[in-house]
Amino acid sequence: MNKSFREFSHTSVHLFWMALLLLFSFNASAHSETGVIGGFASGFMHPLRGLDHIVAMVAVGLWGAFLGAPAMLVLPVIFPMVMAVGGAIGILGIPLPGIETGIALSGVILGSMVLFAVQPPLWIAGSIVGFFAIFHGYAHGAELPNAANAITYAVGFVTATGMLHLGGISLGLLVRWPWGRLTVRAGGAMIALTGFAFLFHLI
Amino acid sequence: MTYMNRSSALRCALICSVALLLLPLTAMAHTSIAGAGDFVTGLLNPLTTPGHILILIGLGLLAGQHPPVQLKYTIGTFVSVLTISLLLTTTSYVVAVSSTVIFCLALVVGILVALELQLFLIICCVLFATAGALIGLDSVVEAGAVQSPFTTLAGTWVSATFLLVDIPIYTCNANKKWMKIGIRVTGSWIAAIAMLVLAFHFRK
Repeated sequence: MNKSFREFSHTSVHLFWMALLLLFSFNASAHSETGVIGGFASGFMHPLRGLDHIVAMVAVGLWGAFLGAPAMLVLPVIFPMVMAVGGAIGILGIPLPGIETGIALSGVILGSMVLFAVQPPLWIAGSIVGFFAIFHGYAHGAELPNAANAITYAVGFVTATGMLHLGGISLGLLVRWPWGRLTVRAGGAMIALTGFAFLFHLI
Repeated sequence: MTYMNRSSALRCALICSVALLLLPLTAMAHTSIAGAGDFVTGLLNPLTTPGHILILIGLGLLAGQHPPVQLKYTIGTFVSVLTISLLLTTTSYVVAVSSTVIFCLALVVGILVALELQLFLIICCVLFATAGALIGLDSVVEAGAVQSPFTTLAGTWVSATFLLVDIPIYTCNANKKWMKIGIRVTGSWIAAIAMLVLAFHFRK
């Protein structure tokens, strides 16, 4: 098979996928919190609206990068599933004490793990991350707007969380250089300080 | 897969999977779509029904995680049961399928993909048969919604089968570690979405 045919086939496959995606365009919903797009936007923005959530999600990615493979790749598998359990508890309205404290502590603990470059066994790291995921998921579930489309809210919420992890992992990849390692640990310190600020209601 | 780079193909498949996950709508159970013919209405039904698309993507990923020799059995089972179920919807023997059951199956499939469990062939076949039955029976053509129910059902059959056959082609070729983890992350997202939707269903 010659090179030009390969290039043509490659391009045609890309064009096929692009054409397929064009079939799924919808009407603009112009900032509405209701309906399909509104539900997605609401769910997607929810984890991004709270600094306490953002720093914890990024810390998961940073810590994963410090731990290296397989932890770097396994933690993003564990977190969404456990977070969804917390989200389900929140949606069902089952009381769970200490949510705000748990979320603030997640920043302190996960930030400290990054700061001190702690490298526990994978099951311990997974347990710590999973434990705090419950609190974050609960907060998202309990604060769900009534008007939001349930399915697209869930899709948006999970997607945004995954992207924050990806952002953390991307930053964490700097650890392969000495200056990068210092930068990532400094990031961990900032996350821990942010967590302390939330814990003592300074923010 | 001789004519294109495998990682590019997988990247395309993953981008499209995520894009399709972003676009689900509420269940429409074959109401007619303005401007679309009967066949296109059926073609779009599995793609626009959230429970169906979650199950189909999940099963596609699951099939790809298993040795290729199993594909012909699992996909063959799915297609056979789907065909029978779709035909059953045209008779009076059709059973209404609760969306809760559909999302329960999506949750199970998502967890299996996330855990990357190697299942026995018989368990895989039962899982695929269940999915085929549920998707088929949940694709009832509403009376008077379309001119030709069989054309609409044919569209649904083509769409569901294409999706289920297409995804394993890419996932079977995921040889690198990060690709396999990417598939598991997608599985965990499917499980998380299904779990949240189930919680919405059970909310008072």
